[in-house]
Amino acid sequence: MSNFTSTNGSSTKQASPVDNEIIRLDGVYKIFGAQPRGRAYELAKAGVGKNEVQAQTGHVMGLHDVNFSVPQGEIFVVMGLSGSGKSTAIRTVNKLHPVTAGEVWVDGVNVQDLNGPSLQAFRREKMGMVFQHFALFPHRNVIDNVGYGLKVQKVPRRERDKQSMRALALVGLEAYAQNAVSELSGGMQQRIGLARALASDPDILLMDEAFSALDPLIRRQMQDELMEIQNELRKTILFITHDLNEALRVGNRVCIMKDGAVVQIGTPEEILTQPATGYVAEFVQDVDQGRVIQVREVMVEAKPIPHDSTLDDAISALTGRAGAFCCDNAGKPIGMITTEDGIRAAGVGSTDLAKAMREDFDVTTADATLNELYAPAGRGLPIAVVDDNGVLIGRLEPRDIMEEMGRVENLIDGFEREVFM
Amino acid sequence: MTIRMQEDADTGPSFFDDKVLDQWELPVGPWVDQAVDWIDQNLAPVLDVIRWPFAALFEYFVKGFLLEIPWVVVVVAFFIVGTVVRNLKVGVMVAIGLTCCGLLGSDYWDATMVSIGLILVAVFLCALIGIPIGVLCGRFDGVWQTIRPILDAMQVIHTFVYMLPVIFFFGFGAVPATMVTMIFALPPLIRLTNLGIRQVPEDVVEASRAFGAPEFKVLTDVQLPLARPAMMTGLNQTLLLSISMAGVAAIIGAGGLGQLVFRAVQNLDVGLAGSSGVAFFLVAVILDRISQPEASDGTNLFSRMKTAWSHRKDPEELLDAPGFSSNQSTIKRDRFAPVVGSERLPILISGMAGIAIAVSTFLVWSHDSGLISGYGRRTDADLAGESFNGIVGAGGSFFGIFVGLCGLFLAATMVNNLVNPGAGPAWMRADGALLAAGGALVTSIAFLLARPSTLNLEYSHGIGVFVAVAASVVAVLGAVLWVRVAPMAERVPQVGGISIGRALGGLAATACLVIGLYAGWSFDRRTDTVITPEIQAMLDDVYAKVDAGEMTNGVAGQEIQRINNLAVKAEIVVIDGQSDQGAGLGTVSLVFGLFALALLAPGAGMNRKTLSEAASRFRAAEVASGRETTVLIGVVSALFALLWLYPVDLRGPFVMNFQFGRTVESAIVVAALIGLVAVFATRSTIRQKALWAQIILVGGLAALAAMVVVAHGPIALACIAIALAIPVVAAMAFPELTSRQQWTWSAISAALGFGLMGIGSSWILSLMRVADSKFFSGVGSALVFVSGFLLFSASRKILSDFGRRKIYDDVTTTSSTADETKTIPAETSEFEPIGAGAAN
Repeated sequence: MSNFTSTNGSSTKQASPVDNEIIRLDGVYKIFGAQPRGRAYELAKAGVGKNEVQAQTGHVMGLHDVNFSVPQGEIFVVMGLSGSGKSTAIRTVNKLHPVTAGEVWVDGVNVQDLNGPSLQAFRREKMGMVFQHFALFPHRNVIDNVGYGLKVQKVPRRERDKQSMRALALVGLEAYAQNAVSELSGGMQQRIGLARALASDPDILLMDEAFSALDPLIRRQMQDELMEIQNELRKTILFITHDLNEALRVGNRVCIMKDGAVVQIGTPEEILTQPATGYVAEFVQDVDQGRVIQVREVMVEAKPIPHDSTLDDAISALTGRAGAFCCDNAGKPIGMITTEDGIRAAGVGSTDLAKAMREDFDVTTADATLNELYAPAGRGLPIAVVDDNGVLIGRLEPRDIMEEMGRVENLIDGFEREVFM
Repeated sequence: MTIRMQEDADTGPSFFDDKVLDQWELPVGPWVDQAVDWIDQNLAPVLDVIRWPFAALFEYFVKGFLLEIPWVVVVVAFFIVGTVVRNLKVGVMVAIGLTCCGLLGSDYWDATMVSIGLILVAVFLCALIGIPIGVLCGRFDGVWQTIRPILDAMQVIHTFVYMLPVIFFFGFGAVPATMVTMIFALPPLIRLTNLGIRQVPEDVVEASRAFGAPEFKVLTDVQLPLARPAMMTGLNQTLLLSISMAGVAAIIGAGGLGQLVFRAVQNLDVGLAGSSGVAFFLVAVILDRISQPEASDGTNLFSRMKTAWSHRKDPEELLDAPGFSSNQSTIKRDRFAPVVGSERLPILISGMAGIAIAVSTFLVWSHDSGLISGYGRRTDADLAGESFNGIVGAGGSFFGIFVGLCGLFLAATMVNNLVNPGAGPAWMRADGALLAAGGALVTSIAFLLARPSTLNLEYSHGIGVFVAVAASVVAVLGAVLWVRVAPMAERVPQVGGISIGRALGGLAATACLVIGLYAGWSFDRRTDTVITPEIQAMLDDVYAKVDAGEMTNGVAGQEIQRINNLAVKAEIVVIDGQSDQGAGLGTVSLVFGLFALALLAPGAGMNRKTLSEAASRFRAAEVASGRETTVLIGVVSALFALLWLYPVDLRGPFVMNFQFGRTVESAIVVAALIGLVAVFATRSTIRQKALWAQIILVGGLAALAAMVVVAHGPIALACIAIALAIPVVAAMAFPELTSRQQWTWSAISAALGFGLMGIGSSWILSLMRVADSKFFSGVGSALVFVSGFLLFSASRKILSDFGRRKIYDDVTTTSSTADETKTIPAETSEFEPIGAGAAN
């Protein structure tokens, strides 16, 4: 796949190679203005920031040494405030913006080398794009909008309509095929935009703030729908947004940009738990960390008590713990014993572990997020973490949840001090 | 004697005497006369081509159709059109209105039809021209920037001003009337089409591109449909203005109702004025009602026409387009790199040399006769004892004026760059200075090398020419030095590889140069007899017979008279660019042109590597993109166009033979074109297409070569071969150039091209200034001008892609990744191209 090697040695600081890579931006600079290769570029290369470059040269720096790499089938979210260069970055991938310097590789093709018919063929075959303000063609009806990419590919009418209907079915709008686009609501229009991008079955979807113009309820619904479609189709999606919650919700990995430069790339959890700079931390502080941090981050070793051990053994094994789980031979938890229960049972002379166990313990999975567990954690008892087969793989102490949240909070506070002092 | 005359010349009017102005008189009036004559003589086919669509439409549509069909049919047709396009009410109204026009009398009916026809023809042609131009303006900022001042001029200049030249070239009648109407009514359509295209939301256009639509599809799928309302408003404006123009156009014989009104006014015939006025008004209402947009139904015709008039200059206001302002651009003042020590010297050298050049034109350029004017004006062949400076008619004339202007430009550039480098006009910079210096050098050398006319009794150069040449050499050296050290940087990334456009430009320039060598530079229809060798032989024969007593004197006299008449009939004396009879400027131009071509090739990115790459890419046909094929088609088409347009005798005046009677050539061309279409229409592979194109190319080349040999002899063919070979040889000899070097070579090539423009235009204008009537400059000089322009414009893009470096104060920045502190120098003394840095 990656038989091409970067020729720009200086710019590999963030382009960690990924398997099965399909998109790669390699040391990409984009400068807008009359003399993009002039002084502004030199300043940018020397590491001068966007505002300074603009003040000195009047040139706007769209992208500043951007490097990232997207594997096949991933939803890669580029996030940043307006002016951070995220929309510019996505437009370099299909060369709506040619870059000033650097290389953009898509599926083994250097996009900068494409021109005219080869570029058009590349855009037709490789990618579909969804726009913030839908950018539907107002003079065409719904099905003709959806079939536009196919029309450009010169697919015959009948075949085109068939494929368009299939794409419309994916977004649930078959019934509106013959309507004018202006008759539909915003959310429906954006579904048509999505269907239009999907109709020609491209490998890559470019979504430029696709849901930003929708109201929050519809947006959420669309995000769910996108993820459903993604589960089915497994496209590579380059998703642009300015909303961190959206980024963390839909993204497999998130790239945070500021002033045209990449600040951090990582999984949503990495972004939340290990923000690279104060800028990221500032973003992150508005997000409920519990919604992103997964149980597996916090859970500890289960140390179960075998169900055939005696009550005394169990009590001594419980030292220092609020409670422990008992497992059957298959490793499935069958009950939980707390120190309190054990001592009370021992006090009445019982030696049977099974009698002292309570069976109404809480169970969760490793990929659940912490916010689902606030209520069970409130009881102060450990929570069992099981795998898909119900086998106990760990335990979650309420105290650890609080500690983790506190740690992230402190980290962010620390950055904040750094930023504001 | 000679000394006395010299004194006479010296004791002419003093510098402060008004009379001295006569000596430097710029004869603008005669120029215009000459220009009109020249256009009449040389461009008559072009005028005919312009005239043709108008004349044909009047002939076949107005006269042959509207006036022929019965009035009932017209009324019913208008009723149907009105009903279909608008509604039943409008249809009925239109029909009644038309019938009323007819009821005034059959004369009025005919006049009504002519008026309607005139207006429809004008609107149709406006749409045919205006919409494509508007679309181009909407899509390309450069076109809009070029067209906009023209539109402004069309709208500001009063109708009567442009009516005159139109009458001059096209006479009276409906054709010039329609042209005048179009000039008046066209701008709103172009402006509104442009606006309509630009108003299309950027993201919708982007969406179309993102789905892989080619640019033409983007236009037809998205931009045109969404611009339709604006375009319809524009058409309606054009119609309203055409209606209001129909009366004025009657002055130049447009015919129709306007003419009736005009006649009535002249004869003070109140009755006629009234009835034709009513008919005119009805026509206006009818056409407007049919065409107006639905929304403006409530308004009346007069207010709408008034609106159209008052918004002639800003029709954009008619649309609800808040915030649109075509000239809105945020201009940020940049500071340019200042002049540093190493740059100051070359600037001073070239500027001072420029002053010397300008001064030299006031020194004596010609003694004893006029060099150039000797060809054009008989009396200038013998001006013994007089001497002339570089800018008077008998002196250097436009050669001197051109050289002098170049010198002034150099001086201005020097001042501009020393005072405020980088600011000011776009060309006032290093490459502009090189252009001016090269232009001055080439033009002054051409003057120095020009042969005097055979009619000239004696001629010698004055000191001024030598000063001009010497100063130009110095200026060129200075400018080249300046180009080498000037802080110029590419403003947009230069794409590597061969620039096809520039290569084709060079090819066309080559063609023009070689044809210019063999084409006429002057052609002489002054009425005296021309004794060709054949005629001389006939005369000798007569004399011999008289001497031998075979012929009586009386018979001999008649015979000599007859032969003399023959001599007078062999009227045109053509002197081509390389003939001994002429100035020989064609040869001079060719030499300079070949230098320019040799430099253009490497400047256009041709070198051993890129050429062999292109060749191998072409050979591996499955890799060959459309680009190579397109180039091939372009070359082949151009070749056949040349073959077809190739005049039978280039040595005549500027003739383009649009004759269909030249059967052999036409047959070749038609067959080749059909073959091309067949090859490219079929679904053959690129390899097959390329093969066929090559076969046709070789065939066309062979045909052209054969024609050249037949017409001009093998030497001409050799010239062409050499001219074509030189760039390739130069390209193979040059190493791979950086874009900065490409820029340098392109600038030199453009400077030589500019010089060729100087030679061609100076020759034409100098002769125009002094020539007797019936003496014209020929097509050769025009071709050399064109080739110079092609060479110049082939390099123009890369020249304008480079700009003076911007300069900033020293900035100290702490980069976010490293903690070292970098100081970015305000300027660097070495200017290696940035592209090279990026490619590392």
